[in-house]
Amino acid sequence: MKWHVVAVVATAVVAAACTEHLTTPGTCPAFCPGGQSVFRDTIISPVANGDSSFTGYVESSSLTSVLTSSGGVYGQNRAVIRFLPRTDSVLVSDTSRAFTVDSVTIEVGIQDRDTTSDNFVLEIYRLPKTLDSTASLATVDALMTPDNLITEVPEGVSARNGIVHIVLSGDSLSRVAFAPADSTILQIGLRVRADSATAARIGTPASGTFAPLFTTYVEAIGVDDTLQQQALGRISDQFFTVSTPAPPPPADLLAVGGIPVSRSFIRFALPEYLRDSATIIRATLQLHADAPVIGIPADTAQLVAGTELTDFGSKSPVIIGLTVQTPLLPGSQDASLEVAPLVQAWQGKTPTPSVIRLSLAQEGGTFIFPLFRSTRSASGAPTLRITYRPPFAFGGF
Amino acid sequence: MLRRIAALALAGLAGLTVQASAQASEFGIRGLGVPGREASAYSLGLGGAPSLFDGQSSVNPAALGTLSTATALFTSSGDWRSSTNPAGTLSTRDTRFPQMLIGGPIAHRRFAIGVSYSLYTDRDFTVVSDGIESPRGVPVAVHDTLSSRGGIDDLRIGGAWIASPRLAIGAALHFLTGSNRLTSRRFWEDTTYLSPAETAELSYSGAGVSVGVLWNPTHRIELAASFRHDGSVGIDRDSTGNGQVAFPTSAIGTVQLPTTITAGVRAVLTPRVALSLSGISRNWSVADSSIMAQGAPGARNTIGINGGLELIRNAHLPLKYPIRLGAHYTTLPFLLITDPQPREYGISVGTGRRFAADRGGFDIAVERIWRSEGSSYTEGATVITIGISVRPPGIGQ
Repeated sequence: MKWHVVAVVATAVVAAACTEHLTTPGTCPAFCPGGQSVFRDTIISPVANGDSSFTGYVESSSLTSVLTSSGGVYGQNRAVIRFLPRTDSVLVSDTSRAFTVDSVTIEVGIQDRDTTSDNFVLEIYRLPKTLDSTASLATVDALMTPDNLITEVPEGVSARNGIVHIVLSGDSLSRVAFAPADSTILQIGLRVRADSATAARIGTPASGTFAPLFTTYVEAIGVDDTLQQQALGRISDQFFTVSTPAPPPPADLLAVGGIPVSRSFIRFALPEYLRDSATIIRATLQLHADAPVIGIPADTAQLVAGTELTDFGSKSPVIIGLTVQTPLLPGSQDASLEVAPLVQAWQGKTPTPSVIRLSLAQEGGTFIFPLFRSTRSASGAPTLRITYRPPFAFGGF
Repeated sequence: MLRRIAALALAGLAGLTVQASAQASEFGIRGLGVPGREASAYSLGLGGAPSLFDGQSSVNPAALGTLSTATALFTSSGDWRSSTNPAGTLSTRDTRFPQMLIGGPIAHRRFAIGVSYSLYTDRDFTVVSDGIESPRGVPVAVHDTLSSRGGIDDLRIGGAWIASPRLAIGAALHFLTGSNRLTSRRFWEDTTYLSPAETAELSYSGAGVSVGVLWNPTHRIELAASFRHDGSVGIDRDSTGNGQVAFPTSAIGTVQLPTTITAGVRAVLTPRVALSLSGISRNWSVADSSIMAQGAPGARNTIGINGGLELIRNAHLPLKYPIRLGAHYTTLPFLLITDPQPREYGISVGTGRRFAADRGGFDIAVERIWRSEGSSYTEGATVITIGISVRPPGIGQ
């Protein structure tokens, strides 16, 4: 009987060994069959004149911010926000009823502003609903008169961002009262002023918590119960920035961002030894701005690099989900992006075009507008530094 | 008394299994792997000494003549190992199926045939190492892992001619197949460097022949010898690349395989005690130049001696839990460093049982093995091997 027990125990022990664990500590050269891993580093320049910029991307509805500024390095910009129609009646117990307006609130989100200028003031004007994104700066400014002023909001020096909450009631309600021609649509314009040139980014519905909101508190006529008081909230459906017409970016520079929005494309010729068999460990795209990047101090934009499915020029589709990005700060003159995942897509039997597309994550919604040097510049052209491993000598012992 | 001693010995060796292993070994990294013993659990319990006389082992084709009926054998071994080298010590474990065989006599003929599948070499390992690399001039800590799974298998098709009740002569063809699945990984502490994994598969192909003889000059003495020549094994690399590129299969060379000469004697000292002794010689140095050409330190000839003592507890039922004790010593062919040659010695204990009128049976062997190359590279292993055999009635009788 004891022998049966021994046999069963031995069988169980062997079965317990079924989980493999084979790791052994090692040092070279005793434990380096195939030799030691070799890693190399090389720098690749773009194809001459294969880098270029194109302008005219991004619909205004995609913006996360609209801009307003008062000159200086920022230029002149006005933000315009239009809200959805408010309606002229409320529904109470299945019956549409007219209402009287008790009060109105307008919320505007300041995402970032220049706190280096003193006595910052945000001016909010009522604009006609017919004004659209084709309007010139002069047209908008002409409409920003004291008669159309809804309110002025001074901001504390320390406040970089926050929600501006405006309450209108009593006599001030006339500033947002609707005439029949308005079709209950409220459109506002935002302008900033300070002791020196200043700027602010105003949130849009795409910005989330900084989304603008127009709320009317009403009392339904002919109703006495708790349903009498209602709030009509309206979000913005249109928003855009009206700017001083800017000249197109210089042809010898690579523009990224701005208004209208620019993107840049940089083409590389990947050597065969990298395309076929190397394992890319790290790839760094080094960019040099022609001048320090302008923007609201301490504001940040994300510089995004992607690669293309096929090269159609300005309308080339990029590979969705395959992007890398790096923060870009005002005043910076160099930018580097770790683009190894993109370069890996250029390898193999079905490589994608070895093109990097540069854009900003906050396209059209930031004052940050880098102009990088290109292969046409006298110096400072982009470079791609690649660290790679040649094929490992698996055949060796 | 014998029963108690054997039970204690089995339990004692099983208790050592907290750190052990046998086939997978650090001594198989710099070459084709650790040579397999191509022996059944029965023979391993006796130190491998009676494998020349054992039809369930694959050492001597003439031993197929000892199979009294059609026999199917399946062997599993679990091993636990503690490997020490200058980089440290780690415990490992794994499971193997080192010996499978189907064979038996041809009815009404004086022939027996058999097909077996054995482990010729085992090259399972995972080596981890740490270091510092400075691919861009800045030191970065790295961790490397090199893994191998697989080895060379020996498919033997053999036959034996039973010339007389005292003499059997056998011959066999050996087809050497198998592969190594290799993976090299590097992890960088600086995560801006990607951690690549490169994989490849080495496939082996070769052939060999063996002849053997089994002679009983008296009813108490058995003599056996075998000669085996394996020519060379071709090695191809079918790299699966780095996930980006698939390389075509490429021949990376051939390695000369040794000629093996084995001889042994088995003496029935009393009806209840049998002693086995055998020696084996392999001229692995023929592989030295081809192994060194692939970057390894080299290969050396090997010799081994084995001894076993079987104690029959029941003379009427000799296969009912006999007590088997064994020991072996051998040098190992593949060097980790240039000098000295690695070696292995071990002790074993085993038993077995036939049941259902000998139609089924099992054998268990527990081995404790020590390997070393100088004082820097050592290994202790415990291996438990279980063989299950089936002898269906009416086949081959």
